[in-house]
Amino acid sequence: MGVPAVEVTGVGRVFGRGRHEVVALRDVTFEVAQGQILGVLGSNGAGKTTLTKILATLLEPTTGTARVFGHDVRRELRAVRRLTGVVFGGDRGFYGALSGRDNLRYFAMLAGVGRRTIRAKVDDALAGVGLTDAARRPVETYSKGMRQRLHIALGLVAEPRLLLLDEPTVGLDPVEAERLRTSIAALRRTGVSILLTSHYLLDIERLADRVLVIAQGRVMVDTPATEFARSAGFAATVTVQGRGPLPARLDSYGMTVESVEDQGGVWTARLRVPDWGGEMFQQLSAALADADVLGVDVAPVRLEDVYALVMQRLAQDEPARTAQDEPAGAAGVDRR
Amino acid sequence: MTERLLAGGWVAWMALRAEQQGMRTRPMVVVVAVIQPVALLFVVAGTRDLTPGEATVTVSAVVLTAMWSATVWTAGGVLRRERGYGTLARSVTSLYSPSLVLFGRSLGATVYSAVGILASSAVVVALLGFRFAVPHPGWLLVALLVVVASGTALGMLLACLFLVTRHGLAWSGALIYPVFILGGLLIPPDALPVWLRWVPALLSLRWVHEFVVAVSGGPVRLAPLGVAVALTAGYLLLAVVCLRVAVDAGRRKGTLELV
Repeated sequence: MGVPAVEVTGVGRVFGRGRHEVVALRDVTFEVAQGQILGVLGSNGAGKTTLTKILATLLEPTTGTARVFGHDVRRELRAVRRLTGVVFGGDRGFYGALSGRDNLRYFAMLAGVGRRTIRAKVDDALAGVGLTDAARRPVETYSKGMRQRLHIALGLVAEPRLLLLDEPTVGLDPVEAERLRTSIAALRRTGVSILLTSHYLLDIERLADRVLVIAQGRVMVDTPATEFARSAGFAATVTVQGRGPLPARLDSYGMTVESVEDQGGVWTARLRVPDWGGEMFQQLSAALADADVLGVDVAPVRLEDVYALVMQRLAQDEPARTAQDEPAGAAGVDRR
Repeated sequence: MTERLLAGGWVAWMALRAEQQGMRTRPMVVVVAVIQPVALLFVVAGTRDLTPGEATVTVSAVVLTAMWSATVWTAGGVLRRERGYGTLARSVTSLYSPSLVLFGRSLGATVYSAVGILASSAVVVALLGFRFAVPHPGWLLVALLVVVASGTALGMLLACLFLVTRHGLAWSGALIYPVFILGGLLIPPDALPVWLRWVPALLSLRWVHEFVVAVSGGPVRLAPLGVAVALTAGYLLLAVVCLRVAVDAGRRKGTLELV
C-alpha cells in the first residue's frame, strides 16, 4: 500500500488564549490509506473543518503531526499543496464579477496547472460539473448549487492525489447531490484518496470505506464503514402490524421489541433484528404464526440510526470523560 | 531557471488580469481615477492662464495626488477584498509565493488606475487648452514608470498592513489627506513644522514630483528619481516581509479564512 495518504498523529488545535481559549481538536490520530475514502462525521463545531484546514495547510496544528503522502503539513507546504485539492462549500470563495471560467482558470493556475494544459483542464472540469453553458457568466449570477459545483470543479481541476471535501453536497438538489456522489465514487477508481466531511449521512453511507466520528474535538469512533453499521447492534428494523392478541414470542431469537403501539385494536410492533437473512425470516414467520398480521415492513439499519445511537452513547459517557480530562488542564491539551 | 521565470511571470500576469477584470465593476475606481483628477484639475487650473512650466507642474501634482488615492483605495485594498470574497486563503497559500500573487494584483490595480487617471487628465488638459514644457519626454516616461512601480510596491505594503488590522477601511480614509499634505502635494514641504519635515522624505511620490518639476524647467537631476527608486525598493522589501509574517501568523492563529 505504501505510505498512507493521510497520517494524523496526536493532533490538537487550540484557538484563542486564556478565557477565550477554545479547544477545537484534542489528540486526534487516524490514517487514510491510499485510494481510500474516509468519511468524517460530527455535529457542528465538532472540529471537522479545523481538521480539513490543517490538512490543507491553511492552519497549523497546535500539537502533534499531520502528514500527506509522507509530507509534513507544517514544514513541507509546497509538496502537500501540490498533492491536495480542497473543496470548501458555501456561497463565497470566488470573485463575483469574474466568469466561472475566469475564476476556475485563475485558481487552477494557483493550484499548479501548467500554462499549456490549463485551457483543456478548465474546460474538462467545467464539463464534469455541468457548467459549460454557464462558464461565461459572472459567478455573482450563479445559484447556490452552481457555486457549489464550481467549488467542486476547483477542487478537481489540478487532479490531486488527495481530495479534501468539506460538506460537498450542501446546497445541491437531490439529483445534483447524487450526480456528485457518482463522480466521487468514480474518483476512487482512479486511486484518489478522499477525506469527506459531511452532515449528510447518505454521502458517507454511499461513499466511505471508513468512518471517523469526531465529537468535541476528539475521535470517538474510527472503524470500517461496514463495522460502523454493525455497531448499532442490529441489522434491521421490522415493523409488524396486526389485529387481535399480540404474539407472545416477539422478543425471542435475538429480536428486541423497540416499541408497541395499539390504536383501535390494531397494534404496531417495531422489532430490531440482529441480522436479516433467510433464517431470521423463518424465525419471524414462526413468531408471527398465530397472529392476524396486516402487514410487515423491513428497514435495514441506516447510518443515520447508527450515528444517532453513537451520539446518544457519547452524550451519556460525557460526564465521565470530562472528569477524566480535568487534571490535565483546562482543556486537556498539551500546548506549545 | 527560464521555466521558473516564465511561470512566475505567468502567475503575476494572471493575477494582474484577474484584478483588472474585477476593477471594471468597482465604483471607487471611477471616483479615484476619473472624478478626482478631473475635479482637481478644474479647481486648480480651470480659471487660470498657466505658463507651459506651471501647467507641467500642476498636472504632475494632480496626477500624483490622484495616484496616491488610487494606491490606497485600489491596490492597498487587494487583500482586504480577498478576505471579503473568501478567496484570501486560496490566494496566499497556493503553490506560488504569496508576494508574487500580491504583486500581480497590486500592479493590475495600479496600472488600471494610472491609465484611468492619465486618460481623464488628458481629456481635461485638451479641453482647457494647456500647453506644456516637456524638454525631456523620455525622462517623463521614466518618471511615470517609477510612479507605477512605486504605487504597486506601496499598494502591496498597505494591503499587508490593512490585512493585519481589522480597521483597514478606516485606515484607508485616514491615510489620504495626511499624505497629500506631508508629501508636499497640497502644500510645500517647507510649510510643515520642523519636526515633521523628515516625513516627506519617506514618500516616493514627493521625490517623483520634485524630479518632474526639475525636468520641466531645466536640466535633468537624477538624484530625486534615484531616491524614489530606492524608496520603492524599500516598500517592496517591507511588503514581502510583512506578507510573509501576516500569512504565517494567519496559519498559526487561524485567521486566514477560506470561506
